[in-house]
Amino acid sequence: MPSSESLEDLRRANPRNQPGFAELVDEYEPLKAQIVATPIAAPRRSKPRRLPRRRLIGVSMAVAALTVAAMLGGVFLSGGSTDSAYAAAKKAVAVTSANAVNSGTIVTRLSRDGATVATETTSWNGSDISLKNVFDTASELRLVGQDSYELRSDGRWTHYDASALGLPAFLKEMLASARVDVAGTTVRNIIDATSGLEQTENADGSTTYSGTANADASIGVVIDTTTGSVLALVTRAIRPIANAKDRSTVVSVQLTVGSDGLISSLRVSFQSDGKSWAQTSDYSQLGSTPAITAPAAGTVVEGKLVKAHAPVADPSAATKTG
Amino acid sequence: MTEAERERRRRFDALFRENIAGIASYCSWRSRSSGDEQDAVAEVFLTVWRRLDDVPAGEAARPWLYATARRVMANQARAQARRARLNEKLTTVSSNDEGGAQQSEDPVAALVHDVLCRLTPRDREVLLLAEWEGLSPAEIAKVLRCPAVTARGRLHRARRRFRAAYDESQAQSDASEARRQLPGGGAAHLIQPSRQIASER
Repeated sequence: MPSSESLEDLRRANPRNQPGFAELVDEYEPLKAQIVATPIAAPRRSKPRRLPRRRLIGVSMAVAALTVAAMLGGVFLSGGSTDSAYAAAKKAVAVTSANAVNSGTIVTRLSRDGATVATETTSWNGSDISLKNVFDTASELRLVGQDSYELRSDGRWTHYDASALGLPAFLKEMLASARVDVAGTTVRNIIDATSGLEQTENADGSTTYSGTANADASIGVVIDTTTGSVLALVTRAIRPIANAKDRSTVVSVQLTVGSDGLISSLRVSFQSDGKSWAQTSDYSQLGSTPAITAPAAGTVVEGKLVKAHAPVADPSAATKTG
Repeated sequence: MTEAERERRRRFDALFRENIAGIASYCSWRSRSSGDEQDAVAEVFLTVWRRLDDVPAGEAARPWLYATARRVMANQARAQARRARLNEKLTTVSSNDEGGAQQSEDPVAALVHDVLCRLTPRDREVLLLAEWEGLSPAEIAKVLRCPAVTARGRLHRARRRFRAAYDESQAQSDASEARRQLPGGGAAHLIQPSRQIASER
């Protein structure tokens, strides 16, 4: 066949020319409405804006006047409006994050119709992180200083120098996700994606912030389209729902903040294929999570790709884990 | 709704209307399944909505959108690699997706698909951005973040390799078709296994 025809055939095979493509594009129309309903985060200022001295005084006087008025009238300035619920929820995120609390533990459980199908525990102490997954078998990843350790099926640990180029990509990803979680970015993103956030004071002094979000590209559960299984934990990976029919799913969000102002739990729940899914992240040991330690030396083998550390202790292990 | 919000909505609507077919097409040939494709399209336009002020005006918007789609697909691929590990552990499968790349029944389209699969990802991408998405070399350069002259060179080489691979595949296909049409040609192939079993007995 003459070569010029090959490119013609290529152009004819364009998916846009295939039957059904126009209908496929039409199916995206509802997406537009969902997207424009997504709240836009206020642009961040790179540097704090300096107010003129005179204006600062004016602001102070206004605040003082309002405070006096509130005291006299018995009015509380906090709470009430949706805007203040967002502000209060984000404040709780800020004071619970790894930037503010030296150590903490987040236990996340994914349940289907009330039965737990996966559990993930993320702990941090300083910049060290431990990440444990439990489904039918347990796996664990620890980052201690510049060293990372992955628990193997035989109970030993594979060591990688996290600063070396040799750290496998999936470990980099897991660590990056865990860092994002403990930094509070994930919860902040969920709050940003949630609309109509309402604040409820509980009898025990805690506060619950509730709202709903469309399971669009900014919040959702991960449903693997190849297997059809729900497989990722929302707070670990903010990923869109992979199935178009689930994209319209309304996700219920509940953030509970204790009387100490720290987050105690985040619950994200939704319905999919007639099943009730819920993901609950419980925060605990804030400020008292023990140090993340390296595994005992005798249980550690060197990962194949580590370049900064010399000899490979167990060549057979190295080939398996590389 | 303020006038600024209305203007923002109008601009997004226009960008969506003008580019949804192109982005859907790009994501369809870059993704492994229909679900991934829909995810990616949603994420691209959500990015557009959130970063509307950063989207260049006029013709320059199109390569910006393709570049965004390219990053979204790359992130998706990375996430899939990570999820694959967890997927091994999950046994609860409630399949709700027909999934998988669609196979064309058209023999020419199938041949094109086969040849595209044999190209390197880099060749395939630059070729399809030009031939399927209609992007100029200058626009492709913006998507791939490389100089225009580099994009032009890559496109030239990708076209040359596609032609060569296509012609070779076509020739092989013609030859096998000719063999199949020979008296007994196809039948001999089909009965070979049973002959082998018979001889083993």
